Amino acid sequence: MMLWKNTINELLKIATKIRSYIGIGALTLLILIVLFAMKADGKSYIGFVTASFEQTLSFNGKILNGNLIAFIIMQMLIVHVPLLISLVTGDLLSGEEASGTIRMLATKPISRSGIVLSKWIAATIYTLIMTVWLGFLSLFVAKWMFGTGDLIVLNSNGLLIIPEADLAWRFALALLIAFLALWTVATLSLAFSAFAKNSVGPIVSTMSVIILFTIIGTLDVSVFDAIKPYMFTTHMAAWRSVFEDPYPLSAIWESVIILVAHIGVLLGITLIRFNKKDITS
Amino acid sequence: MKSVLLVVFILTGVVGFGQTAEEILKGVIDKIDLVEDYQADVQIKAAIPFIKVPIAKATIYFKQKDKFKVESKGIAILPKQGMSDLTGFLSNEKKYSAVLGEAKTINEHKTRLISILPTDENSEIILAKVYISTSEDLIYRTVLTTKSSGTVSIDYEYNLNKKYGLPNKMTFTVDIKKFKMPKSVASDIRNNEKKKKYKENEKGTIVLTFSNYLVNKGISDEVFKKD
Amino acid sequence: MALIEVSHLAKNFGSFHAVKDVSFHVNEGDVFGFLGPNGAGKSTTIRCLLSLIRPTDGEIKFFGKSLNQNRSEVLTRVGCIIEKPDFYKYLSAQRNLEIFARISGKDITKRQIQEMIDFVGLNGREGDKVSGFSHGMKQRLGIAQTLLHNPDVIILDEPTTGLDPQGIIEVRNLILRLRDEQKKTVLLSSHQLSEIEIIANRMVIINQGKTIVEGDVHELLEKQSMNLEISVANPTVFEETIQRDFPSLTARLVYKGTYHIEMEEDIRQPLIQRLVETGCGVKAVIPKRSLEDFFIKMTEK
Repeated sequence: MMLWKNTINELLKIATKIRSYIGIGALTLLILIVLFAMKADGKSYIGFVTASFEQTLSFNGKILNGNLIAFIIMQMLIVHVPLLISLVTGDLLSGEEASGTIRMLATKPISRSGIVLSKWIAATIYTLIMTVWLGFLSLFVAKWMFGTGDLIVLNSNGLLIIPEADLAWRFALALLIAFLALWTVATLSLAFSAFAKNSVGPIVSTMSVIILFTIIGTLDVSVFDAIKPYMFTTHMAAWRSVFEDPYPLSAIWESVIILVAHIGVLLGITLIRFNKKDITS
Repeated sequence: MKSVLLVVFILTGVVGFGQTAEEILKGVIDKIDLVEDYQADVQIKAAIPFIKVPIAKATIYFKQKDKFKVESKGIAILPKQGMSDLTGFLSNEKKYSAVLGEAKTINEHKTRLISILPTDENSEIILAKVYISTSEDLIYRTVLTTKSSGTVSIDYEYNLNKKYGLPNKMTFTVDIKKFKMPKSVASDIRNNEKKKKYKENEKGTIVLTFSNYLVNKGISDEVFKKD
Repeated sequence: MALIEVSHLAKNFGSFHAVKDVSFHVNEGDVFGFLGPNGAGKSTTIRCLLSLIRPTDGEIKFFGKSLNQNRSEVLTRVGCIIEKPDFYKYLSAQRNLEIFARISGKDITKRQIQEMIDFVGLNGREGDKVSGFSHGMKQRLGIAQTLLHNPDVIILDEPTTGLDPQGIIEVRNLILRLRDEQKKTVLLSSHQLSEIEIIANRMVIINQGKTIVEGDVHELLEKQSMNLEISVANPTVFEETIQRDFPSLTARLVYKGTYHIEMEEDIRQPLIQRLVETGCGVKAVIPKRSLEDFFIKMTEK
């Protein structure tokens, strides 16, 4: 009950903080820029995708459609949305510490775990809103601007054309997995937030971890092979697997399990840290 | 000995069937010329290395002399050469020289090979080998050697629209160059998985099955203008 | 009945012993002074009382129950301001109160919130963002937040720090009103003995993390030397009078015409009377008790 009440408080705080809208605004702007760029010069992008086959084959039909644009947007933004999300989630605990309100909050009859959990639930809802907004802008607005059609996907082993009728569930599943990835990032920054006294540290730390892990992930050095499958960044692109045919169900499950495990462990660390913390600010 | 063989070749080539390459081609071209315009539904089944594509449905439109358009709701992959350009090319006798070649039975149809060499140096087609049934004035196989697309071979099957020389099935075999993955696009998370190894060049086939032909019903030029 | 019982409280931050052994109890209806110089461990003790800091050792009981095991229940009955009241600056005063009301453990209506805003004199400003509030206004909002859920015990950590004289008087009056009108039990910390002397009935003094003395304010202070600060119009006459009539006293010049006088026993009355008679033009007599002196005396015992 107290958890629910404080979750309302946390959502209220997020909803009234300017920084929450920086994320949504930046996301909207980024997507609109991509949409505009595609409207202006999308054909050349398509040329880039089909270049390998142009001499022999002709591609007919509406290749540059809303589905392709949505796919391109998702692919482009998966790197940037985590930053926008950690801008808010990295501030949740550390921001209270910085402003001193943590003293007010922690002397109320809500348990420390209750504070962490309500903030985590609020972070989850914020992440969900960002994901839904990403999905809405990229799918619905792109479809409205570019129409619909089959999706042509460039995978590492060639082109795959997925019929339009087969796309709705794929996008839904892809967004769900992308949400899991972003949720992991949100939980990570919340965990950092429990260790910091201002929000800069958690945001920078979150991005540093993502960048570091991504670099380790792309390095073709065998020493890292053992840890690569367990790094959450490896699985942040798991949503893309949904657009393979046949889609690798077991690999997707593996990614989902690893992401969920990360969320669980990170939340656990946050709970332990915040429960043990002496509030001296 | 050589001269004897040459005489035999000429005799079998010209006298044996009683027709020159130009005459055989004329039979085909006359049939093609019967068609002012047509439209047809086509089902496209492609088996191309590096491309996974579902069976696509499209409507094609043709109008003399060289208007051609494919209209598809989804994404349809067609060969770049050999759809409508061949017939257009054949209709212009001044642009090539034809040489009569061997006889060959293709799918139980007796055909003669006519090798066509474009006179224009800039032509995309370097050599076209056309196998024509002289009794039916129908092309049963074409092998095009092109400048940029390698070799394209097309087998034809006819049914209802034999009289117009319009096939109900065309099977294209095309050369596909080794696919190079643009690195920036790759975001494959399972890097360690073994990928199928492809040869430098592979053959791909595209089977077009036509239906609902509407021949000489008149098609507005507008159809071809739309993007 | 003791509402707060603290026994042998200790807190270490690594190798630093912030609180070594602090014990005291606060009775129902007390205005209890929690005294100590800066760095004595007051803040750490108060934070332990409110579960902001986990004690290393010792026990804290509220209403006869262990704080550790009944945290939520205890905090529902406690209101506090720690250090200074901090609020969500981007929210209005009203929104801030609504947020804290929601997690106060009691059902608080919008009307009650408005009444509290009126009580602390912030009516008309409740819709303004806290970012535009002065320190005094935040202090008042802090008090509103403290009283919102009608707590039995109110803990105030140095409530007058940073306030102007007017603000200090307001807060003092408010504390007395809470005691007299609403029968609240108040614990307030301070490093100024004179402040505690004015409003508290019981007190504890701690130094270097240890309890020095606990008891009734007046009983404790009676035993102590009384110091006075006297301002006079005629310093020469004043100095002559002291030397002649009160040779045991030492008058130290603090400022032009203002002297500090230390006395072993309370001879205020005869002293002032004599000064008036000799015509040195007494302008002000201010009783002064320094906590430092008090400590020295206490530790000497």
